[in-house]
Amino acid sequence: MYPENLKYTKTHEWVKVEDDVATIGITSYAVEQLIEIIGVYELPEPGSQIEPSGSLGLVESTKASSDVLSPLGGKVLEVNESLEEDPGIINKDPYGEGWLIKIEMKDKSNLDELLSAEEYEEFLKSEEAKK
Amino acid sequence: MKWRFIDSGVTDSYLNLATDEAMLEAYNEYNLPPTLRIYSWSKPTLILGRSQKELDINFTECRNEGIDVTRRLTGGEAILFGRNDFGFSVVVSSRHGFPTKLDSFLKVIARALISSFKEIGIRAYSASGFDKRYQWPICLLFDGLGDIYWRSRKLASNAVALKRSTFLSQGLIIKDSSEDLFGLLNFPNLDLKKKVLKEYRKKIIGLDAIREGLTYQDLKEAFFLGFQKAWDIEFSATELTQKELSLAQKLAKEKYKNPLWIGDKRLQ
Repeated sequence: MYPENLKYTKTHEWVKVEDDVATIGITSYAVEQLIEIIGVYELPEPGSQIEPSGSLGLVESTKASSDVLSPLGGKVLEVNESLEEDPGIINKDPYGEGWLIKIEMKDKSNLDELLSAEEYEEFLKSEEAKK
Repeated sequence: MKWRFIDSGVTDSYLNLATDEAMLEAYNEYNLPPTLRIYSWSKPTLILGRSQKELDINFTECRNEGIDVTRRLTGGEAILFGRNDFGFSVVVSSRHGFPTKLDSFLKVIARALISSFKEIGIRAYSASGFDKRYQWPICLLFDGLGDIYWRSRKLASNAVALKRSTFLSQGLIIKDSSEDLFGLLNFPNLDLKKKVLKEYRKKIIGLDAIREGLTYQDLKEAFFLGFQKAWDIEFSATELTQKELSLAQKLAKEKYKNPLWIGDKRLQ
């Protein structure tokens, strides 16, 4: 159900690694959590540094806001500016056109803490089972 | 399940919002039990939604009228808390068996609010869905699943923030459906302002118009009983921890009073 070429966090971000560059977005589960994303805000400036677990932006649905946390630290190379105009892209294609930022990774050791698609799915099942 | 019940009473505007954020951080950081907090306001306060455009707000008029202005952590649009309005906040996550998704979470909140209103003899019901887009800068005019109605008119509303999978719900029980808010907002033209005001009068009702004379204490008791019954939980009436108090004071000063966070450009 979740793309196998990506890594995941327990706070529902995904990471795609290509050499030293990590592309980061939010998972389809995060989108479903908020029902429908209607705004994307507070993305960092290209060139700025972000820290692991630091905020990398904010997504909003009707009357709800959710901080997006960075799973990795590094220098921001690019942000997806098209989301400002059309945040609905995230609802339609969270793993493709709905990416949030690209960073140049400072320290790849944080990658070891991320979950595989299978582990993420198991984590979600355990969350659901708590209810 | 044990919950904390915290009665902050009459509290400063900035500290109220800062306390909610401190509770959210402390819940995630120190493994605290879930919390229901109730409060009122020492001064009328206009609160912007987390990402609301500051252009919606007439800061000069707010200052002239002695209205505090700040911005909350939760989504949505502007809301005016009057001195008599009753505020509540809930901090909880799936760690304590609560839903992970917004719609299910808000339905659970609505159930507790309906149960609380029942305690004071008011038959209320919840919204059936969400408005998809904001058109006007007034939070109460948008329907969300956690909103509560009496005879088709809105009596209570709430907005949500999600951080590290923990929900913070910030809510309002309207005591008196004052129209003062309309003087504090910028509308593109007078016709639109009149149209929105008409909608507001049709849609919003205060508790005082349904049952006169209900006090803060009445609502406190109704919430204490109503939430416990609806959620099958047990409250422990308690205080904020020292860590929460310290963080709240710091956030009130450095964030919620800060023009950079609020968006009041003339003070930046």
